[in-house]
Amino acid sequence: MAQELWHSRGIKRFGLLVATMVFSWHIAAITLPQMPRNSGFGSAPHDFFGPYLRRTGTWGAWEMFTTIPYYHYLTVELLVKEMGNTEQTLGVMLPEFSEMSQHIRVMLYFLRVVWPDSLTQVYRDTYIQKVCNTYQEKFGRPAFSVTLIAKSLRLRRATDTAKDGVMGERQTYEKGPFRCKEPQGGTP
Amino acid sequence: MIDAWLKFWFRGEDARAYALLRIALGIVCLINVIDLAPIANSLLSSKGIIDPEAANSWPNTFSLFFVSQDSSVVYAMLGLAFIASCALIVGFASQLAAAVLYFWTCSYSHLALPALGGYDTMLRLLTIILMVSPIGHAWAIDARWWRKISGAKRQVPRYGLVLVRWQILVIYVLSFWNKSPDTYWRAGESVAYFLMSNFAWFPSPWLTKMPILNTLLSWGTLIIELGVPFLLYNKRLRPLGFVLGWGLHLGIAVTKVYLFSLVIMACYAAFLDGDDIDKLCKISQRIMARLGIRRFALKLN
Repeated sequence: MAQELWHSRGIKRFGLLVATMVFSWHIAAITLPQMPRNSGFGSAPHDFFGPYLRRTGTWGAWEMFTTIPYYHYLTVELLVKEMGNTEQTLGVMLPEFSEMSQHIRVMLYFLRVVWPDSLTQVYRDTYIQKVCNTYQEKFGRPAFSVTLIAKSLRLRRATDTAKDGVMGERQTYEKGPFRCKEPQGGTP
Repeated sequence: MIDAWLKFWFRGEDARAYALLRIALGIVCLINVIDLAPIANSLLSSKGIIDPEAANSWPNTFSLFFVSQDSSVVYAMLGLAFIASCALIVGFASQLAAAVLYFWTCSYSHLALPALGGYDTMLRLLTIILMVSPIGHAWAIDARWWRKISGAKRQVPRYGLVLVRWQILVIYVLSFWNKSPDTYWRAGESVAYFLMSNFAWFPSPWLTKMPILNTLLSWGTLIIELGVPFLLYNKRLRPLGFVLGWGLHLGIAVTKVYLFSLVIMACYAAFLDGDDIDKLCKISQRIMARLGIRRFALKLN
């Protein structure tokens, strides 16, 4: 049956040719935009195929594990300040403010929210605002600012670990404080 | 010329290659749904950590969750994806099941961009190909229906397999391209760090005490990534490609990014031809016969 298909004539043959054009376009779209933007082609392939890739959900980059991971363990907490310097430390998972899950997706999310790039910056901004809104709903008081606190065991050099078996050393990173929008009241 | 071009895309290939790909990807989609379920509410619902306003800043994308992020919608979609994964595995309304999974994968991907891994990209790319490919002609409930419509097809057009093969080639080559300039990969130190990191299920420093093995594994990863797609394309060297590639991905599967390994391993089915599948059937029949599951073993052909 299939061998007859490519022997077909007339409108069917034309349909098959159109289909091959679509397949070729798809192959070009998933391949050419993978070229670095600093190559001689610049960002032309990205700009040209970008709308197709986004509309069809076929966008993506293959940059997995391009360098070593940095952490042996990582968790993120929130330091939420209210008016009048009242503050409390909470977990990052909404809506319960529970402790950060160590699920791979949640880890990836907070890695990209705590250290955002141009694409994920907006996720940090909206996450902070969600924290502010959820805080007010849960505690009945407005939050003034939110600080992201990443507590980690940062991986040591492999040669050092080989000597004593200790994989990570404590490091804490603070990002913020980020002001909640439209705080009700004055400064803390 | 046009004949050769059409033949390249539409030449017949064994329908069981599509069937293996369909079943394997159905299983991966099912695992993905189960994996997502415990965090779905936190990740995808309006009460969770992601605001659709952030996702909307990225133009030309679509997601059911842009319309509603109610918990009931999230769980209904999760349930639908579960059913569609099962349907894909058994080959019931296969292309429709692939379409549902494509819509589901795009929906959560376009909302939860920072929570994605390479496996989500793979699932989107593969489900869109399955949607338009003849995936229900063998080892499928749909095959009975196809037999009534147009007779049993042992051979079906290969365009879907060609697209998957190309995708795999692109991934491996780019993976090598992006890793090779890195200091740690070049020094042959990388694998030990992955085994100690928060990506490992059971972080351990054992490989740091074996620097030669660490270097062989790190460089081996790069060599395999560059070589495997070409080995898979070559009929004679294909078994070696399978052994090296699956070996690499089974190694990666000991980390929390096991889904990436599973989805790539599933794609290897696209490289199999009829002879390969006959051999696999014979091997599996022998194994099943030994295990006393003869009835099922006979049905495999």
